[in-house]
Amino acid sequence: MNDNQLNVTKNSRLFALGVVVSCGMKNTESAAPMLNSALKSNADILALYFNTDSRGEIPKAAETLKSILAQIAKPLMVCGCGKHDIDKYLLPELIKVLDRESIISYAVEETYKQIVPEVIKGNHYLVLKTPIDINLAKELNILSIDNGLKKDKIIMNTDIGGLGYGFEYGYSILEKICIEAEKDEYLNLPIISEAALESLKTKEARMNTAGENRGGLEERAKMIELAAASGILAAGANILVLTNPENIDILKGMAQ
Amino acid sequence: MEMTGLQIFKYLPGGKKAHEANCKKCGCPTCMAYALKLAKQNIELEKCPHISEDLRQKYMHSAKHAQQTVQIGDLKIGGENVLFRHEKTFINRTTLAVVIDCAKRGYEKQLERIANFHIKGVNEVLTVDLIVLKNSENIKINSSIATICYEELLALNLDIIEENDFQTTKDYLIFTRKKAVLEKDDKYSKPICVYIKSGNLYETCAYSSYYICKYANMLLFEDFDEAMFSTLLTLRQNIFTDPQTPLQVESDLYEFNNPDKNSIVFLTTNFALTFFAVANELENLDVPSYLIVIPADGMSVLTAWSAEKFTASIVAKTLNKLDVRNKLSTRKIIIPGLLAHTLDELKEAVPDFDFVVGTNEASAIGEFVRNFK
Repeated sequence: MNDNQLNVTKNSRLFALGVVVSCGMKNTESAAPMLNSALKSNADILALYFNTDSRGEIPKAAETLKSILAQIAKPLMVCGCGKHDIDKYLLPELIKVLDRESIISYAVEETYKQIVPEVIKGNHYLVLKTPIDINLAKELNILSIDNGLKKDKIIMNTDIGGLGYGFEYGYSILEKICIEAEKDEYLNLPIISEAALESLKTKEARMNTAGENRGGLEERAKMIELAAASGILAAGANILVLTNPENIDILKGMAQ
Repeated sequence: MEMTGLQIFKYLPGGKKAHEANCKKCGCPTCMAYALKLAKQNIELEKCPHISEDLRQKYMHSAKHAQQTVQIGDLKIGGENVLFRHEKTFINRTTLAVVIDCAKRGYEKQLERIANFHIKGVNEVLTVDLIVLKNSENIKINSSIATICYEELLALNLDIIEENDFQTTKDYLIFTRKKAVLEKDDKYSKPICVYIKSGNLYETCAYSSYYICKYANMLLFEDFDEAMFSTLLTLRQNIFTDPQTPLQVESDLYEFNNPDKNSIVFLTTNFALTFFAVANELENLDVPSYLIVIPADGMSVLTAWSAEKFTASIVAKTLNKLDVRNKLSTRKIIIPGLLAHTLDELKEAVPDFDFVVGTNEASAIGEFVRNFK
């Protein structure tokens, strides 16, 4: 299936559609409508976020992934729940189920040792996430390479605050890395940004009460996602995760 | 690009190891000290009697401001000097203006909508910056927002371009700013105003966001929309924040999810990024909470502690100042995990409170609270 092929480089401009997968979702029931609309979108990548609450749910999560894989004729990104003590067990189990080269998101300093070996076995890309700091990003890249991960399989996530909530720090780190990348091979790697997701977590994007003078909630949330994604595209991000397929269409038009 | 102190130094007697080296006539102890000051434009070229014509010309060229500034009342447009905000800072925020055609029916409604529009940003109220009126002869408008007519706009020293498609506009903006900053080329020193015709608001929002980052000095919109403008104003405030001075929030007792006297209480410093990281987590908790913010000159937790901006006595003073004892019944305060080592001092300075060590990262607060009794 050629559609599933992934090629991520420093010149990529790829757009991932993020969807949340609950453990125990079954192909035929709850997962189907969500997947159908996601697959109809023009997203380059489908990003599955597993909201696994405990280690006990890991087998169920793996089963869910297995049950929906055949349906997805798109490159995949498989994302953990963000809790380090779960992700270091969850992600290796999810990788074992995968039938194609995918992006695994994410490993941090505390978890990369557990996650990197499975990633290497499956020849996947791995997102390495570090707190907004150029040196920490470089350090984790080097540590992962020392553990056997190929450099061209690394995607950096240097973290960012939502729009209005410190967005500029992550924005500037991204610009700095793109400049440094010209002379530093350990920073000359593709960057993924979840700026849009972070911005959608802000109260302005979620709450009507925060909306005094800010227009309707639905259109506001769409705009917030667009502005964050467009801004971080200007800073030089290579992969952007969004939640709205129409926004992906607009941004893809800009990145041609 | 601007000359660095070292580049200047090479032309001075000190750098050439000439016998006038470090003559102190400029008032600086060494040629190097003078060069560094000159690079920052903190001293005049004339102070040094040994400046060569070659250096004078190179320096004058490098010290020249990349972009001109256009002023409308208090509003400044352009005057930018860098390509990336982290190099120093962007100077004048992208002016967000709306053009209104008074020949069109219902223009008063549009004006009223714009006049009523204001949102609360960090430490300030944000509005539309400028209204531009078309066909406004014999029309008097009272507005708290700066207003000019279209003809006046055209007469300003602005490079006004019409946005026909995103790629062309984006390329032009980037090309022009590079010419102005990297080559100090006068032909490209005018501030740029992008005229954005009425269209799909979501496309307009996405394109404008890009132009705010790279590198429009002014955006003139035919469309006005509250959701779009509040979003663009927020993005603009972020991008134009001066990276040299940390953004601070006020020292206060902040409330999340309607707390009562017994809700849990957190404490952190007033560095905006620290505050927002914690505030965002507290907002997303399913329990109500308070956050005590210590005045720490906008420093993050560990920096504040090293600089003695976070001390037990400052915490004690802040608790008094914010009247925490009367406002709350809770006598337990959760402190940042990075400040665990201050626990004993805190307990000594504020004996009627119990201090509990929280998490190192804000992102772990949710988990912490679930396990917290």
